[in-house]
Amino acid sequence: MIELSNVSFAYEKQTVFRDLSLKIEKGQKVGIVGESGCGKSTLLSLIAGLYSPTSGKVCVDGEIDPERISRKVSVVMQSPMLLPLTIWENITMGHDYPKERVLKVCEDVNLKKWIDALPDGLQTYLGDHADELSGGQAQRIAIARAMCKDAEILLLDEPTSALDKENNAFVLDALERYVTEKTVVHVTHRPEQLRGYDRVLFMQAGGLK
Amino acid sequence: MNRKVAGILKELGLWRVFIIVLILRSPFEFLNAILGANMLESFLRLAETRNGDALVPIFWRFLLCVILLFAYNAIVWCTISIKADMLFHKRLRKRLLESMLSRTKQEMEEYSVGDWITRLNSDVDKTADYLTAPINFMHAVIAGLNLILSSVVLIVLNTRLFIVAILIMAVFFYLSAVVIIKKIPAHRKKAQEAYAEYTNWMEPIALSGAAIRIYEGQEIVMNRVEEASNRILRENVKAHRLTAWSAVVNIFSGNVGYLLLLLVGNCMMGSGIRDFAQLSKITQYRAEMMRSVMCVNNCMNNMRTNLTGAERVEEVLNKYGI
Repeated sequence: MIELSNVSFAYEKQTVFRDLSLKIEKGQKVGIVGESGCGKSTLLSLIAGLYSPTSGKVCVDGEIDPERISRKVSVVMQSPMLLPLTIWENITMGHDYPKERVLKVCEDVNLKKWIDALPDGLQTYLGDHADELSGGQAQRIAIARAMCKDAEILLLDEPTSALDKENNAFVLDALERYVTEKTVVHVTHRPEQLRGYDRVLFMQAGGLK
Repeated sequence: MNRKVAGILKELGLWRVFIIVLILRSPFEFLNAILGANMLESFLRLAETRNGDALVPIFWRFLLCVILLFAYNAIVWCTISIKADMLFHKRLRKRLLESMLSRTKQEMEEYSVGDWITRLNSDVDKTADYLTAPINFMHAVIAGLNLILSSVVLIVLNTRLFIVAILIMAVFFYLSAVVIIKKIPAHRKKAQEAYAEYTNWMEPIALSGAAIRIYEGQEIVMNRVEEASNRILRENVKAHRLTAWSAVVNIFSGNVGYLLLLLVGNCMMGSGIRDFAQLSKITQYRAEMMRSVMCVNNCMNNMRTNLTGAERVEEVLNKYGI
């Protein structure tokens, strides 16, 4: 369960939210819609334990310590945030996940065909040339990473904003199949992506409606 | 001078400035050597002949020469040379940036971000050091000139002692320069590459810090950064060890050479050499030769190290039109 109680947050002197409260039950799928710059990504970063509130409390599955909260969630951001490591290492982040699990998520996000065609397969070093991947490939690696962690809570911050129509469909399809039993918070400015969600909230002037 | 460094100088339009600074700097070492040798000979001769009255005028004469010589050197080294160095830095950085900005995205991606940062910073410094820093190219030329002129003087003064001095030097120079120092640049180059890799990690850490935290990737990132950091350390330690060995050989050869020359010179006293004052003058010139050889040796070592940076800078400029 995710619970925000009277949360305020400010970047130095610029207030983003004041006294914001939100409760998301386990297994619920919540979409948050709003214009660019209204604070959607900041809200997601607070839920992910990446920011600490200026005042108020963020509680995720009984945890209030931001570092512990971060361990309980998976996040897919607008940018895939890949590192100069191999594809395998980018997905596992050095954790000892079984190979079958990694191969399964690669298949689920439609990466397997591409990876199989690479001379070094999963051991292909992305290095500094991560930019040479298509936006779709990079974002699907990021989603594979989130799926491999298999956290109960999945936070999505416009994961398809940089993708073309075809890749957008692939990514959303992969996510839809994956999130059936997860708690999901999906931030977007495209409400049509939130079909089938339990709740859709609108963010405006630092508040949720 | 290395062809690539010469190319950079020409490209920056600083070839003439550099030659002028070099010509202005060149006479110092040899003039200093003449002054030191003659000063020692004069004072020892005064002591041998117990001519105390001549001491004060000789003292003032040499003191004036020393002040003039060092004033000249200070003006050239501390003002003209530094201005040339600053000009070189300024033009090289500007030209590198022009080269970067004229590239397409694909050409920019030929080098990683860390590699670019290293090329624009430490490699530029290394290129400038090659040309103007102490114990680099400029000192090598000055010491080389000093070596030639001191050798000529020593041949004129006593050819046999010159042969003894040159034989001792040749053995130790081979040991130091060919056996030890030659290996240093390879280690420096590897350290530089590891440094580029290390720098390269800084951007992903800053930009993807959230992913590292959420997916608990601190360990793998730390391991990779540490690997690069250890490689820098390992290669630098190897280079330092070789430099230290070279210094040991240099000191040993200096002392052994001096002792041998004194022994041979004393045996020749009365036949080839007039008196102890003249022998001291000869050993002074031998010391200058020795010092110059060691200086050239050390300069070559530093130049090879700095050349690794200069080559990487030239590689970037090459695209621009050298």
